[in-house]
Amino acid sequence: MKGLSSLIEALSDYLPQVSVILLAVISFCVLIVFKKRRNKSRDRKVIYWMIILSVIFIFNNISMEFMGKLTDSDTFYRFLWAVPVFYVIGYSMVLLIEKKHHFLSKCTLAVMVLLCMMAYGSSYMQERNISFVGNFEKMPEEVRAVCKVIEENKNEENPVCAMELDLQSRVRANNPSLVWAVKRKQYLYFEKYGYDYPNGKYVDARNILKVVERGIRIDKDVFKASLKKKKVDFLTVNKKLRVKEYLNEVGLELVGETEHYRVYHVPEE
Amino acid sequence: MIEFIQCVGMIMVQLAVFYGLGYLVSVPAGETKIGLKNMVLGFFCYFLCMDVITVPLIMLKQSFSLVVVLWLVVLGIFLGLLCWVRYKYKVKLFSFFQVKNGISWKKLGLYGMIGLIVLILLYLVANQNYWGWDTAYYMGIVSTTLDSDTMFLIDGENGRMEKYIGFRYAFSSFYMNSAFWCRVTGISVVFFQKYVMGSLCIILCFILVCELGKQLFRGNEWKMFLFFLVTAGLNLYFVTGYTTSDFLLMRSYEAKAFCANVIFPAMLLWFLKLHEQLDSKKNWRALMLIVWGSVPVSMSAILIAPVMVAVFVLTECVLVKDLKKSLHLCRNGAFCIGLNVVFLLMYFLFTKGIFMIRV
Repeated sequence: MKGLSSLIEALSDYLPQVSVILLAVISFCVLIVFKKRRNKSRDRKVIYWMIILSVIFIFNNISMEFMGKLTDSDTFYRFLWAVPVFYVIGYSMVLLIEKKHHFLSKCTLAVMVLLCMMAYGSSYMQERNISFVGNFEKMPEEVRAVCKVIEENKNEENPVCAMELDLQSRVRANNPSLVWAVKRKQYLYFEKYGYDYPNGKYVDARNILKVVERGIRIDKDVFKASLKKKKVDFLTVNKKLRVKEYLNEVGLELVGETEHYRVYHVPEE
Repeated sequence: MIEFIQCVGMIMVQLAVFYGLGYLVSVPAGETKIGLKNMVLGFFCYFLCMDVITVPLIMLKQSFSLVVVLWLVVLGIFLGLLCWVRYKYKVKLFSFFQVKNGISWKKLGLYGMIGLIVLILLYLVANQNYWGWDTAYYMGIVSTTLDSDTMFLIDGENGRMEKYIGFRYAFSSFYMNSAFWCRVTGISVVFFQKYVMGSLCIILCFILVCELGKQLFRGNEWKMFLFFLVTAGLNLYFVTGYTTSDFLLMRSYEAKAFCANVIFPAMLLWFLKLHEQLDSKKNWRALMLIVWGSVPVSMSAILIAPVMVAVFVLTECVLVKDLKKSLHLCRNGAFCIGLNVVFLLMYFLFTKGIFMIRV
């Protein structure tokens, strides 16, 4: 039931906004009643048949698993985009508003819909969505500063860099010659299982992330071996982790500092 | 600040290119008034044509510079063709701006309000700071292409050499288009992707919303405006993960956002047109252009677009109750999804390890 359960999981993102589901159901009913009253039987039949055929060909477990195998994917939420929820709601709401003869009734209904959206929706108008980073490029100064230090000190064309996720996700947009030491799937693996999962995978990535993300002082030889295996050229660590002495003892060379980070070069042996 | 102004200029350039292509595909087909919905057709035509250039060159592991040169030549040819078609058919450009019988203040007010609301939405979206895994990946594809002059030979996210060309994204020319304009104009990747492509998604989406409104309400502009207001409000107030509004407002620069907010609404619009007139060749051709152009815009449409066409065609076949007409509809539907089926087959073979091109 992988396909359908994945779709239901995606649909559950709609469910906290019960109002959108309610609006969609009301809108659908308005549409059917409207088409019935205007004697538009062909339009009603189209709506019924599209729903039936969509369920037969798309929104069932067999189809979803088949389509997942075809595209080697297990993300099915995109199929929900094919359902024009907002346009159906928009169409029905306009029909309802326009059906009212008095201007006051129209306004009242419009205001009710708006209040429903504002009170029960998940508004985009939140500070985290609409506050400036501080520059139009959305590139924190720290990212630029770290990239600059690496650029000034690199001996390779494409240095391999290990750093915390916040930095790492942006560096390549600033300087595409940099190479990630730890890949996305490794980060996601540790997000899911933690760093201390017994017999876990990605041992070297785990050792590196323990230091750069958590400031955990693992065995120096083990850390050095992981850096060597991953061919890391630069390590960037947040100052608040207080691992300066530890990294000096490991033998890393401090090549630059920014406001919040220290950049170390991993010497070749 | 200068780059920001350049981005505004680029938005105009891209819209003009889409409009020009829309003019090129619509006028010889008999249309005499070229409006904003033709611009949408031009958008699909643009990426379809770009795919013709980029996909073979990607498979042949050619340099990105070659794509830049060839695409510049192609754009030059389009410009020449535009001038020739204008001269031959004498259909005015930007005819939707012309006002007959004086200005209607109500009409001006309505469209002015729509423009203002879209500008406010553009401003709000320009301010948001979402930067997720996918952002890093897509920005990385464009910046890596520019830095290394290669296409899909290096993983855009982490910078490592790929073992095989990743056709999950290589069949779409969306990010190569961004890289092209960044190379030609010198605008930085983040600027172009976030501001230019992000704004284009919103502008095209709301053009389609207005056209849908006009289609649903038989050209009644007041109802179209209400429809636009309700849809914009729904997009603003129901933003959760995976919804179309999430991609429209938070991730409008991704190809997936175009899939959810441009490709599928465009298909819906032409489904509505065809529902009224099933034998309209013009509308079938337009639907074919949209579906053929869907994969070059976004690989997310590779399966969903043909399935939507299939559901629509089968629905109309059931209602038509005439075998000959049903077969005719099925034939039209098959033409529409033909290219997607080819892409799907190639992608399926890629996922099974049969169609692999080693880097």
